[in-house]
Amino acid sequence: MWTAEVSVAEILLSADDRPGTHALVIGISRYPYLDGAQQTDEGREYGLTNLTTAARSAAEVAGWLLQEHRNLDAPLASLSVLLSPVDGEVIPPALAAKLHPPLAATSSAVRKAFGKLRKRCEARPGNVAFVYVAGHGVQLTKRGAVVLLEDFASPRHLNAFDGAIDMVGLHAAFNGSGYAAKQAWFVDACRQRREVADRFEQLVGAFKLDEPRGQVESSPLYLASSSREAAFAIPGETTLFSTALLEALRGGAATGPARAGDEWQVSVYSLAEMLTKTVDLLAAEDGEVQRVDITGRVTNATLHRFHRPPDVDLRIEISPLAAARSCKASLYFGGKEEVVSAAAEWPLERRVKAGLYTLTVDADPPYRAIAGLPGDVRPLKHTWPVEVS
Amino acid sequence: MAEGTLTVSFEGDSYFLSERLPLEVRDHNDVLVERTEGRFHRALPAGLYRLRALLPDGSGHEEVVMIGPNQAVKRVFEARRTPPPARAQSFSESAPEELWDTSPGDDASAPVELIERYGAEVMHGRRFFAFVPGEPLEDTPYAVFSIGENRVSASLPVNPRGRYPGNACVVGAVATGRRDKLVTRFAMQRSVASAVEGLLRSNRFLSGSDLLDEATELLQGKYQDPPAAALGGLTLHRLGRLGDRRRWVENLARDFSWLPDGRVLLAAVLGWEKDPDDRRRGLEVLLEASRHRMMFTDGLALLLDLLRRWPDGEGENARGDALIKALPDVAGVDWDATFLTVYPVSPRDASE
Repeated sequence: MWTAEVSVAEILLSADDRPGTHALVIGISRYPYLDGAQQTDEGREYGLTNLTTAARSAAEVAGWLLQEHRNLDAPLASLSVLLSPVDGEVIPPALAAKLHPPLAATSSAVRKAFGKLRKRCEARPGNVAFVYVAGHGVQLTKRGAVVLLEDFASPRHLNAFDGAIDMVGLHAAFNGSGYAAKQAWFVDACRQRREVADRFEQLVGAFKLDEPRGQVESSPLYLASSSREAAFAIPGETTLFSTALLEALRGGAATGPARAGDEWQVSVYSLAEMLTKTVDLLAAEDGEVQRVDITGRVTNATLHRFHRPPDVDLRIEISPLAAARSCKASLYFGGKEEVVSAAAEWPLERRVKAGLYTLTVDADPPYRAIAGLPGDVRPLKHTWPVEVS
Repeated sequence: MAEGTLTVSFEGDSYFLSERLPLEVRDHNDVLVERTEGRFHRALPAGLYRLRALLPDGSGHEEVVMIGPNQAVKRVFEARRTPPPARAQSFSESAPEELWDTSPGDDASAPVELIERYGAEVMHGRRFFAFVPGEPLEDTPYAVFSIGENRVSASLPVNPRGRYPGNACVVGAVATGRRDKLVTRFAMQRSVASAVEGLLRSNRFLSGSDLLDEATELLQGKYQDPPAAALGGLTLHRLGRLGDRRRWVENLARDFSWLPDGRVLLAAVLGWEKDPDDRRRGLEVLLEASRHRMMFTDGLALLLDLLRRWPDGEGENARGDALIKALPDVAGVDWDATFLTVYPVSPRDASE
């Protein structure tokens, strides 16, 4: 039986001495030394303002881990959450209720959290690490990412980058023989303007840990950055990357089992393909550009499993619209198992399980009947247009 | 249970690609039937199946097939047939269109002119430029274009060891959402190189990662295409899959010394060796390479990463100096481009 003990910013799910998933989720929207009454001279030079969605996005990811993550080989064993929301930023109540009180993502808190996470990763190779960080950052290349923490530009700091974390350096510090063999890292950074980014090229002083020797089995680092600040998120909602990530983890990136009887899963590879495609689409809807780059130790591994095939919100649309009155559709899973029989409402909307189907449409003249049209119904939403003219 | 057969294969100019392209077949429950390379032939229970294949240009293809009882279903995925080699290097003729794989986009809105070049001869096209190797190379070939008021430089992945069109590359200017951009590609007759670059562009390199592995070896060894080999090596390194290839990297850096990306890759390998002499040599190689223009954007990214984070922390001052010298060029880099392309930071040319 799992019980949840809550300490400040950390949810420990007590368990026996088995491999587990240890997660660290960080979201920084509030930057008091960059924006607002406490802005420092140094902070003013960066010309950055508070974000509105990073903390909420991180909280949504934490919520998914707490309520939906499933990996029987390494169930969720600990979840550390550091959030620096701005006023009015909505944190899911279910998560907020578990954090008494929530801990801000300051340099000292983040250092402690990563230190603790590394100890847990060192404890056994069977452990799994999951890290998600969102906030102001710099990702100039496919290989480098820096994220600014809440107290960046604080007058108490001795070095310019004391309030920044070198994500790639940190990621490398967890990539050593004997560490948690499987890890997944996500950096959701709002890419900065050139004149700001140039300041970060010499990143001496940003927090990182010593890099061990050897390699783990799988540790992809997914780096997402918008080309402009406005492309980072939908105001008042969540970042594009976290939206795509959660959609992927909830089934959008699900692939079927390797053997009959096994479970559907989201893997490193399927997540990479789906994230790339979805983030690109979401950004393009607003005429923006956002890329997802992948680096690290990128070998395939399972990130999440489903206890049953994911469901799909299927919508079958008939064309031309005038044919709707004259057509009835039947849907067959695998081409054999009837799941919809002679339905006459259009568009036809059903929640079905993911997989391959055939569609048959009985149509009165002058429309064309269709027999056994094959289709691949993929999670989470699938629209199937059918032409009968 | 009634059965039919499913046969899938690839056809194209490259035997290597035809035999190595990944292919996956799943049943209607999305259960994996088989994952293989190059070809698939099997008797299967009648029903629905999903085919997923990586095509020679790096794009993906998916389709659903229905296999009926006693029915033989055949699918052949064809690579674009490359036209036969053109008239040998007649630079006065404007016929390099056949070097493009697919159109990279709409024509740029601003006029494009070639201003200068190093290490490559140019064949003018109607819409774009094709380059072949020029004088013996000592450094990365590049060209500078004016696009409207902007001066843009692009590294040119010509292959001094190949014969036309297998040694060529193409550069065109296309209109994107916000500005006109340069697009550089291997000539499509360099089919394995084009496949590698296409994989990266489409971000399908993960499902084709075994292909990337083998292609990288082949590009250096058999096909003698060092720019493409270096691109493969850099990508494998970025994915943490370069493995124990020190000798391969040493050969790349030594045999194609005009290509600084190979030396950066060597530095990355040597930096992690246990022997301090190796690490010291790696640092020297890195600092030397930092004084040259990279062929690849990822080569520059790795260079900057190593200058910032050398494994044993040695040479901090020298690395810092090298980083400062590199910064002015970094500001205008198009990090989404495969081949190093640098735009001015301001509308005017910012180069010295």
